Amino acid sequence: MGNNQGTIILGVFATAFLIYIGYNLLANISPYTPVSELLELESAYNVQVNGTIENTTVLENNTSIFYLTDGKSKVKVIYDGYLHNQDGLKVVVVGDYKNGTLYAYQILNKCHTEYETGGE
Amino acid sequence: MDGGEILLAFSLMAILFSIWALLAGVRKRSTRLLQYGEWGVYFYFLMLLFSSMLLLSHLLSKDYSYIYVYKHTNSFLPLIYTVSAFWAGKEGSILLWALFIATANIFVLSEKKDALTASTLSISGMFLAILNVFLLTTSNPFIRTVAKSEGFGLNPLLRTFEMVIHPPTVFIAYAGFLIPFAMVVSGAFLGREWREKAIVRSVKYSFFSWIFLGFGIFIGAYWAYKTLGWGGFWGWDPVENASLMPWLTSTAFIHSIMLRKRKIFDGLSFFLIVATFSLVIFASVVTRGGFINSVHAFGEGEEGIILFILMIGFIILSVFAYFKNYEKQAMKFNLSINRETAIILFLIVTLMLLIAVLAGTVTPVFTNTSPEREYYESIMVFCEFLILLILGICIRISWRRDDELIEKMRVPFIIMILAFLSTLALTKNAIISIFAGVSAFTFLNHFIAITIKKKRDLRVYGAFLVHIGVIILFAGSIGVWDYSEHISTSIALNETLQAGDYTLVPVKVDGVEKRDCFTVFVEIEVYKNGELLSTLKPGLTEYMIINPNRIVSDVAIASYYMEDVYVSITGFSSDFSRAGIEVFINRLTILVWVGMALITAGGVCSYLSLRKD
Repeated sequence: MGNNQGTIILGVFATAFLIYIGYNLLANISPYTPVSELLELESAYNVQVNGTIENTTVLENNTSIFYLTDGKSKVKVIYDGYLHNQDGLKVVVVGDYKNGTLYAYQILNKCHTEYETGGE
Repeated sequence: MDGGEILLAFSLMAILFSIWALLAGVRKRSTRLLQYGEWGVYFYFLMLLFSSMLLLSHLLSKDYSYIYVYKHTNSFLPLIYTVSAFWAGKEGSILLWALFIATANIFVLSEKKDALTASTLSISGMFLAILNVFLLTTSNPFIRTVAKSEGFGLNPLLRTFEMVIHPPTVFIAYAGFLIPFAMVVSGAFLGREWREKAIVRSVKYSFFSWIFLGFGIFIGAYWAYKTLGWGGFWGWDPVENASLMPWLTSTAFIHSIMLRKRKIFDGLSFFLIVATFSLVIFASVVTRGGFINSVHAFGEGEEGIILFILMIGFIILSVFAYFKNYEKQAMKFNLSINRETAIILFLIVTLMLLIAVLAGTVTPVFTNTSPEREYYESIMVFCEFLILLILGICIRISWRRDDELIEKMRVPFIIMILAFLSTLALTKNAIISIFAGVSAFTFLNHFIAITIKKKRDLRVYGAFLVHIGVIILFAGSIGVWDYSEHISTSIALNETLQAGDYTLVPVKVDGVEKRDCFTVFVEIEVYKNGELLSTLKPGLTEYMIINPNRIVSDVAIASYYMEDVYVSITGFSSDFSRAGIEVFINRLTILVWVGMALITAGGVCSYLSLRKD
């Protein structure tokens, strides 16, 4: 194999790899949306919304209803699961937004700001 | 000024003095100045040691007049967590990092005293000086307040043995990676005759830090699995990615030194070392900078910005050093069927993985979106496949053009096909089967290689252990990612829940009150084929001293050979008659731990042989 041929082969391999990474990234991202912006939308799928939990009502059929607020606006969230005593907690809600309600499928806790962990 | 602050001020002065004395000593060839610089290093080491001991004594005596002590301890905290509170906050962890860097500098000094050492110590001193400035300003652990009667307590998530040892382990690595960086940049500045020496001398430090970082990641992953309750060992969170990236570049470095005979890789080794330490700084930017929206970014502050600028500065410095001293080399690869080519391919895959992780980590900064776990997992699975394949061939192929390769690969290839087919028949899962095939191929090749190898020393055994560890770790990761089950539902007493082959029956809800927390747990009996296997007690613990009250999930895990029954409680209905429950049947998780442990053990073996040389 000639010198340049080797370089070309490795170059093609690396480029194909980069395209694969880029394609995968575009196919698997979900946007962060502020509460106020979310309310302006008709519907949105697979969004991530930052905010604080407020006024939680826990229903007996494993459903919780709460409001997510960013201090200015608030949105109603329905979540399949019990959210026991979590008012005031800062979270990222992942879910679909339709008809004025955010249907959460994941709620990620943000560490309390007083809590800085060391190490990682 | 507080006593601790005075010690830190002395150490900063000593650092600045030693940087000056060492640099001037090298330039003027003055042994006297070098001697002064050396004393400076010992002096600042002692100052940092004393200030660390002082902080520790404040923690142990629970002196709540110090904000740091107040924020991270309380009077109920057991001794071990009172000690680990030292590195529970950013102030203490920066002090720890600084102390480790100073210690590393002492090691450098004890090894050899020449121009390279002097200039290495002055560059690592520059970074240490920045940390020392943080310790006196934005991250001062010795700030006092009006005395409080009770402390805040340690973050409940950190009250585990893993979190006692994880931060120091990672900081040993982060301090260690500064030395090779300072060494090779010094080497490049000092001139051609030092360049090669610097790379050679830095290998030991890189390798040492590589072992500690790997072990730290291992402990962190184990902690996340046991503690966080989402069922996995690796969440691809920016904070986790940040520690993985320098590990990838240092892994690449360790392999790149095998190619030192090729001119082009002189520069590659240099840049891999630079990249490793730049990524270490990047990791501290991610964890404290707050400009990456991580679900567990810890605190925000101006330090992140300063560190980021510092990182850019260090990269520019290294690029400058490179162009000053390395000849320009044309990018020409002479590929042949030999081990060199296999190693180059491995390096490319590792660097691509690095690019993928980096791209995912910084996406939230630039685009207001964040990648999902599927992004990382699909790329990782692909890279694991490639790495295993390359590893299997690499260990058998010869350094010179290998015309017998196909002959050598015949039996392992047949075994690969057999392993693939039999796993497919057993599991009906294509990804698992492909991996079973490739793992068998790579494992067999390693087995053959070690049997026919004539020269077998500790270094060789170490490398083999690491490779076998990688095979096992990858197998475990595929099991957890692609061969596990997850159920999220709610359950009442004496109802049954079927998860995989297991039947879960909650038999009791109870509470335990401790001094600063209250736990509600569910006793769940786990049955398989009608036989009671064990009783799990997952629950929720509410910590009462901290305001606002904090609820932490207590995960319960029962392991049966290759399967984990992993249960976490997500909440209770208002009358506690029903509980929200997540059950994961995780397969092959144990292989993840065994693999990571083997990688660490193999690393230690190879390091010991490295020291002997």
